[in-house]
Amino acid sequence: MADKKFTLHWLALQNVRRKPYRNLGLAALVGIFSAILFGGSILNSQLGKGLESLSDRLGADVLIVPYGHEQIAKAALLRGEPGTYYMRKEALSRIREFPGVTAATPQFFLASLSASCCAERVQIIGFDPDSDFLIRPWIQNKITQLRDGEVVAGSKIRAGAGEEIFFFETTYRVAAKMDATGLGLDTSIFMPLSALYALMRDNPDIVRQIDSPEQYISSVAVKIDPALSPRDVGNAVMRAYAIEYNLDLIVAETIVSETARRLHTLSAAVYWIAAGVWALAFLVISLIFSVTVSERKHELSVYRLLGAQRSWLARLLQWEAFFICAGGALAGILAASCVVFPFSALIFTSLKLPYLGVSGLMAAGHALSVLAIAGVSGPLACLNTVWSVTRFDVYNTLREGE
Amino acid sequence: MRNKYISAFLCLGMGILYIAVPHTLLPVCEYAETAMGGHAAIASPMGHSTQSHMACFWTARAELGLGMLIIFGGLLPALSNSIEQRLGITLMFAASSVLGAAIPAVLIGVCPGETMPCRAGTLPALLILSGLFFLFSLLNVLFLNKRRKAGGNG
Amino acid sequence: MRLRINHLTKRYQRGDSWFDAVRNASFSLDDGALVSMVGRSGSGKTTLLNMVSGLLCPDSGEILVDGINLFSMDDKKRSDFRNEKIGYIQQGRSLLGNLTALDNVRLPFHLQRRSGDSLQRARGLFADLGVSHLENSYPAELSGGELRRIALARALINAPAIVIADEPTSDLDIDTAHEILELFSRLNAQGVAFLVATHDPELSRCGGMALKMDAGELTKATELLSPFG
Repeated sequence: MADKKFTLHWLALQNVRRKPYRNLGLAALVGIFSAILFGGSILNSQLGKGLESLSDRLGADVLIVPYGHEQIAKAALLRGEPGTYYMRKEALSRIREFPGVTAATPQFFLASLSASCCAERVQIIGFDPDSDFLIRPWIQNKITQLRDGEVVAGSKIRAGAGEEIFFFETTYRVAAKMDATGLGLDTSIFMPLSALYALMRDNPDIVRQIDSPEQYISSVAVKIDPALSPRDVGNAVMRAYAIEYNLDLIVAETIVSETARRLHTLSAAVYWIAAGVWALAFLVISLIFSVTVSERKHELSVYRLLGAQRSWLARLLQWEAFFICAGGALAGILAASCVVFPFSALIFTSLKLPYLGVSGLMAAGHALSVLAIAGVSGPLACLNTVWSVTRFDVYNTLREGE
Repeated sequence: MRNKYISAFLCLGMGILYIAVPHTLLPVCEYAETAMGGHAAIASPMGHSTQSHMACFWTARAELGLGMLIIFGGLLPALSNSIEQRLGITLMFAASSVLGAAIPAVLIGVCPGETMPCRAGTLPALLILSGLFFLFSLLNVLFLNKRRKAGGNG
Repeated sequence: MRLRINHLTKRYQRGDSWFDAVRNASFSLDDGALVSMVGRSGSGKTTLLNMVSGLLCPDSGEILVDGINLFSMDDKKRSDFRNEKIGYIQQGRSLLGNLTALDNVRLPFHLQRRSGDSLQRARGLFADLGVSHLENSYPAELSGGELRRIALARALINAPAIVIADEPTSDLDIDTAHEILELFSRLNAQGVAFLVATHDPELSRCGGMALKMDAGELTKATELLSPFG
C-alpha cells in the first residue's frame, strides 16, 4: 500500500513552502482577483434578487404622488427613507373613475421619530384594507383583518408577530410580519388608514400643516387595464387632474428599469475590474513561474535522474501552481466574505439600491466557481513553462550544476 | 527577537483600530431624537442639562478605553525578553479581543435598527476586528509556547 | 540483469570542430560485478555513465539491457528502467534541499506505483549505513561524508541491479573516502553491481574490473573481461 504521506501533492506542497515569500506574493495577487470576483458576484446576486423583488412586489402600474415628491416617494419605496407628504383625498375617487384604471388604493406615509433611546426612525404607512393590493399579498401569515391597536410590521422591524412596538407614545401589537422584500417596505409599519387618522387626531403635532388628516392621503397606487399602456393612461390622468390636485406621476416600470440599469453598470464595473486583475495575475504567474523554474533546473534534473517521467514532472509543477492559486483564492474569498456579508446593509444603503440576501447554497456556488477559475488559472499560466521544462537537456543541466 | 516587535506593532495597530472604527471610520450615532423632534435633554447631577446618548455611543466609549489599554499593553512585549511574560500578555490580548466583541454585541450593544449606521457598519467592523485580534493572539500563543518548549527566548 | 555496452560514441561540437567525448566504448556489466573507471577530469567518464543510465543518447552504438536496446525504449520505459534498475550517486550535491534526509531517500520509491513500506525500508538503510541519527536533518546541515551516505541510501531504496557512482569520493577527506569505499565493497559482496567513475586509483584496487578512460578512449585494464567485451 502506498505511503499516505508521500504523494505528488505532498511533494508539491513541500516545494511551495520552500519559497514562502515569493509564493505568498503570487497567492496574494490571486487572492485580490478572487476577492473582487467573489465579492462582486455576491453583491450582484443580492442586487439581482432585490431587483426581482422590486418587479414582483410593485403591484401597481403607476403611483400618483404629490407634485415635487417623486424622489421622496421613490426613496421611501426603495430604501425606506421615512418621509411625510400628502395630497387631497378627493383625487382618489376621480382617479378610480378614470378610463383605463381597474383599481386604485390610497396610502398615507408618515415618518416616526425615535421615542426612546436606541429606537429607530420608521416609515408608517396607512393603507385601505378594503381596496389594498400592495401589502396583503406579502403578509406572512395571511390575516384577514387588523383589530384596533394592531399593525403589520416589515421584515426588518425588530418585533415579531405577537410582540409589541412603541411609537408616538402609543403601544401597538404586531399582528403579522411582511415577507422580506429588499425594499423600503422592510423597515415600514403598516396600519389601517382609519387607525392612522385616529393617531394623527390624537397627536396634532405630528403633522402640523394639516388640520383634518382624514382629508388627505400621500399617494394612490393604480392598476391599469393590461391592454393599455400604463404610461399613456398615467399621462392622461396627469393631464386631467395634475394641476387641480397638484399631482406627480411615477410609472412603476421606470423604477424597475432605472434600478436594472444601475445594476448593470455596477455588474459591468465589477466584472471588468476582476477581468483586469485576473489578466495581471495570469501574466505575473506565468512570468514568475518561468523565472522560478529556470532556477530549479538542477533540482528538476535530479528528479529525472531518479526515474521521474516527463509527465510526472509536469504534474508536479502544475500542482505547485494550483496550490499557490487555490490558497490565494481561498484567502481572497474569506476576506471578501468578511466584507460583503457583515456589511451588506451598509453597502446597499450607500448604493441606494434594493437588495436581498443570498442563500448559503448560492454563496457556496459562487465560492466554488471562483475557486475553480483561480485554481485552473495557475496550471494554465505555467503551461508553456512546464512544457519547455520537460524537454530540457538533463545531462547538460546536471553538468552545469557540478 | 523579531516576533516581539511584530507583535507590538500589530497590537498598536489593533488598538488604534478599536478607537478609530467607532469614532471615525464607521462612527456610531450620537443623540436620541424625541417623539416631537429635537434632542432629548436630561438633567445631570451637576444641574446642567446634557444630551442623552444611545447605547452605541457608550459602546464607542468603552472601545476607546479598550483600545488604549491594548496600545499600552502592546508596548510591553517589546520591552520584555521573557517568553513567559509575553505569553501571559498575549493571553490577556486574547481575552481583550473577546471583550472587544462582547461590548457591542452583548454587554452594551448598539441600536436595533438594521439600517442604522452603528448596526450596519460599526458592529460588524468591531466583530471582525475582534475576530482577527483573537486569531492573531491564538497564533502568537502557539508560537511562543513552541519557543518556550524549545527553550528559546526570542 | 545483464548490461552490454557496445561501441558507444558521443560527439560534441566545440567551436568549429567536433570532438569525441566517448569513442567506441564497450564493456559488460553482470549481476554483482564491480567495475571501476579511472581517468582524469574531462576524460569522458560522466558522459559514459549518463549514457549507461539512459539520460544521454549516444551518436552511435547501443546499450542492451537483457537484450533490449535501451534507446529504443520511450521516455516512460527509460525512466522506469532508471528508477527500478539503476541507483545513481551524482557527483557533488544531489539531495533535494527542501526534503529531510529520510524523505530524500524515500523519494525514488514513490516515483512509481509500488507496494511496500518505504519508511521501513529507508530506516533499514539508514541503520545499515550508520546514519539513523540524521533522519530528520536537512541536506544543508550535513557534512560531505554524511551526504554521500544518504545519497547511497537513496540509490539503494529500490534495490537496484546496478549502482552508478560518479566520483563518489572526490570531495571527501581520506578517512571518509575510505569508509565510503568500504561500504561499496560490502554491498558489492552482497550482490549489488557497481559501476564507479573515479580519479582515485584506490578504488581500482578494491577488486573487480578496472577500466581506464583517456580522452574518450576506454582502455581494457587489469582483470579479465567478460567474453563479450
